[in-house]
Amino acid sequence: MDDRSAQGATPGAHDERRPRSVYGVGRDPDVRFSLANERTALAWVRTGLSLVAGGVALTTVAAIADLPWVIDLVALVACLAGGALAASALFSWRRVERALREDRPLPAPAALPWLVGGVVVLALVLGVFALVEIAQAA
Amino acid sequence: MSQPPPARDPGLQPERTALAWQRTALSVAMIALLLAFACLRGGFLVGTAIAALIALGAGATLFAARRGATRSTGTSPWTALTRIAVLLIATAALGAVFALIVLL
Repeated sequence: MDDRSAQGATPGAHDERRPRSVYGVGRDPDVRFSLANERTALAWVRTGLSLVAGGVALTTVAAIADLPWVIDLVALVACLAGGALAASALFSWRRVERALREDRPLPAPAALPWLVGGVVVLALVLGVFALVEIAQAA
Repeated sequence: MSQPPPARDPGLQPERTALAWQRTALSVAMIALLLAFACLRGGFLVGTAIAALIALGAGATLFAARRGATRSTGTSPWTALTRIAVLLIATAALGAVFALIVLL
C-alpha cells in the first residue's frame, strides 16, 4: 500500500496512472468523488448514445417510409451531436478530475446549455415539420 | 480524509460505477448492432462490417469493463473512457455517413 491516499501526498514518481495531465497535479480526492465523476462522464456518454440511437432510428424509418429529406437531415445532425457529446464527456471528465485533485471549485457543465438548446431546436424543427405536413394534407 | 481502503462504502459507489459501465457498454453494443442491420438493409455492406466491429469492441469493453471501478483506490478510468468514447464517435460517424447515403 503506498501513501497516495494519505493527506497531502504529492504525486510520486511511481504513480503510473494516465493521463499525466490529471494525475500529475494535486492529490487524490476521496475516491467516492472520483467514482461519481466517472459515472457522470458515463451518463454523458449514454446521452450522446441516445442521440445516435435516435438518429439511426430516424434514418431507418426515413429509408423505409420514404419520408422527406428534412427528417434525414435531422437524423444526420443528431448522429453528429451524439458523437460530439461523447468527446465532450471525455474532456469534461478530465477537467472535473483536475479540479477535484487541486481542490478547486468544479467547472460548470459546459455541454449542458448546448444539449438543452439542441433539444429545443430539434423540437421546434420537428413541430414545424408536422405543422407543414398537416397543412399540406388539409 | 484518508479512510482505510478496505472499508466498505455504504453508498455502494464502486458497484454503481461498475453497473454504469455495464449499461453504457451494453447500449453501445446494441446501437452498433442496430446500425449494422440498418446498413445491411440499405445495402451498405462496408457499414455493416464496421458496425459489427464496433459492437465487438463494445462487448470486449463490457467484459474488461472497469474491474478497476470495483477496487476502491488508485486506478484511472481514462483508458476505458477513451475507448468507449472512440467507439461511440465511430458509431456516430457511421450513422452520419449512412444518413448521408439515404439522403442522397
